[in-house]
Amino acid sequence: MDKTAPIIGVVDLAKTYPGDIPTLALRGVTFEVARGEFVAIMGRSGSGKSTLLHQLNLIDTPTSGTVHIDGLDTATLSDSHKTLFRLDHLGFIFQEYALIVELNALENVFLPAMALGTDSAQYKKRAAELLNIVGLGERLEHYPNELSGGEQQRVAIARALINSPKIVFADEPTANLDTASAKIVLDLFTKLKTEFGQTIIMVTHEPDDKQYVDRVIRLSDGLIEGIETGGN
Amino acid sequence: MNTIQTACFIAYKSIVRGRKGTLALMLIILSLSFFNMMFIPGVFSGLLDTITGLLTNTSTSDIVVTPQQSPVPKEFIENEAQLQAQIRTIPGVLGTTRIYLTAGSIAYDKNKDGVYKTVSAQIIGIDPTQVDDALSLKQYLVAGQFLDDSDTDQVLLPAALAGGYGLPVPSDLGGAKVGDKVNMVYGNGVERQYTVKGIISITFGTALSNTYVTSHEAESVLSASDQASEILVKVDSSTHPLSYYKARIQSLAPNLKVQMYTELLAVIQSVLDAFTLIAAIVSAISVLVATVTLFVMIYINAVAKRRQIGILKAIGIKENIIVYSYVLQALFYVLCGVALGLMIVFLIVEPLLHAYPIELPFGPLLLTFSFNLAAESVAAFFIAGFFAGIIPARIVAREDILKAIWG
Repeated sequence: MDKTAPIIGVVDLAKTYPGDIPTLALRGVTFEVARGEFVAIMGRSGSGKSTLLHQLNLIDTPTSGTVHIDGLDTATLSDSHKTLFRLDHLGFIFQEYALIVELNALENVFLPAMALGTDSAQYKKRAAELLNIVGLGERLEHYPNELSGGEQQRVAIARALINSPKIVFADEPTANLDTASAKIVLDLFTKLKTEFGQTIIMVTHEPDDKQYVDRVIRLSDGLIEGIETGGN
Repeated sequence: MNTIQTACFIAYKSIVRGRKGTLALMLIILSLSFFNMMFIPGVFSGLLDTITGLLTNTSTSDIVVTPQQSPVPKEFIENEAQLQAQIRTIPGVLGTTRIYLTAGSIAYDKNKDGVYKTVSAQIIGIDPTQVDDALSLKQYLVAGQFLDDSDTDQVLLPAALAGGYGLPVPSDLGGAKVGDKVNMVYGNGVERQYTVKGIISITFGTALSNTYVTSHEAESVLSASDQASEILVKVDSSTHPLSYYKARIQSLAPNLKVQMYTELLAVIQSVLDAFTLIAAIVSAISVLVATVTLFVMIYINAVAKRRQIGILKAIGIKENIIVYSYVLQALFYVLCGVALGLMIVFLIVEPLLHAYPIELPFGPLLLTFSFNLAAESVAAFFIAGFFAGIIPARIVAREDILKAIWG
């Protein structure tokens, strides 16, 4: 694998939602993301940023165009292979309440590793390490309802990293957090990028988040309006 | 392997961290449904065992040998002593006895004023010592003493015909007691007077009018010797089926009619069939109630966790893991429901009914359970649990990830 090659390659990506009046959510988007890059997808509500994220992280299927991840054309994957690919190679951070309420912090983090078939002693150790990295080393046994919104989001970050993903996708991860908690989460992303070389794609509507990222892909009406350099 | 392990883990955590009230409600419904499924057939089976036991103890034993039917019907079995001896040599045969059967009437003058009350009766000649080998008549003696082999002028009256025992017969003798004299007229016109030696209370079917004299007395009335109306055979049915003994006896006496008690009790068999049908309907309803309950509970649970299921799928947890986790939960609920149901049946209801049996006219009602019934009930519940778990879980888990998460 060519380590200098882009980890994500998107060519002429389009997504139309069917209906009486079809919605053209993406209308031919082309860009690349380099390995270890922290990219923000920004735009107004309805600009297509979440739709783009769902095509990139294989939750949804594009109407046309291609998405290559680490050289693999994702259109060639069956649904079950996409599921396994997501588990093995992609990490997810959702906007809110994305933890399993019956599992404590440690269990939430190691669940994807357990599903992948990793050795139990190994995944428990790594989950604890990751929770330590996100600053929750003392709250391993706490359940989601015993954690604040910011803490829950940090557990979700640790979970996204458990299988050492090639890319972490974050969908407005700070939208429901107070300013202090949002800063902790964004600082954590920066740390992951700088210390571990983690590729991160983040959808955000917060203009201030630009300072944390390498590049901003700005969408408008399903098209790339512009690509800007971030503040990182 | 990791699929099952992860499904078990999610199921375990869902149960442990789930709502305890919902769990308790579900277990109550499941255990009562299972109890119902076991109890009704158990009652019917117990009822049938009581009736069958009564009839085999007092009338038929296990195998009945009757006289030749064709080409020329005969009234009696000839050389009965030799035949009984031969039958007893068959391995597994526990005992035999012969009886004479005839009809007659009994007259009793209660007030010694020349006014007699007369009733019809089935008169049976027995060998008092040997009858124990095939029947258990003595346990039904409620007054006086049992007959002796040498008795000729003594009779055992049925409680129903003697009167005063509150048994359901159209007419009785008005209260004949031990020591009283009764006149009996046999079907062949012979008339004899007997002293009532005992009262025997058999409270079911034709046995209500069974009146016993000794075989010697019956032979003298019927002008018979070394003959019998029937030979009753008691066998060990745990070593061979009844049909085996029937075939062996038939080979000894090809001209005689040999029947198992199950063939003789055809009416009982039809009752058994009706009971079996009713029990099957009740069981089916119980399984249906359990299935619907589980289905609804699992479905509500899965729908409530729709977003969570979407997130699990989004992060790469296979749909099968999610579905199996719900199936495992359903099977766990079934396991607990079955265990509770079995405890209710075997630790509460059965001991209670044993200690305080429900008295029926023909004996106490006891619950009878077979291993097969229990195994079938358990299997039916687990199959129901499997489908009640997998169907709603599949419905919810198959939903599109985006719809599940964002609605």
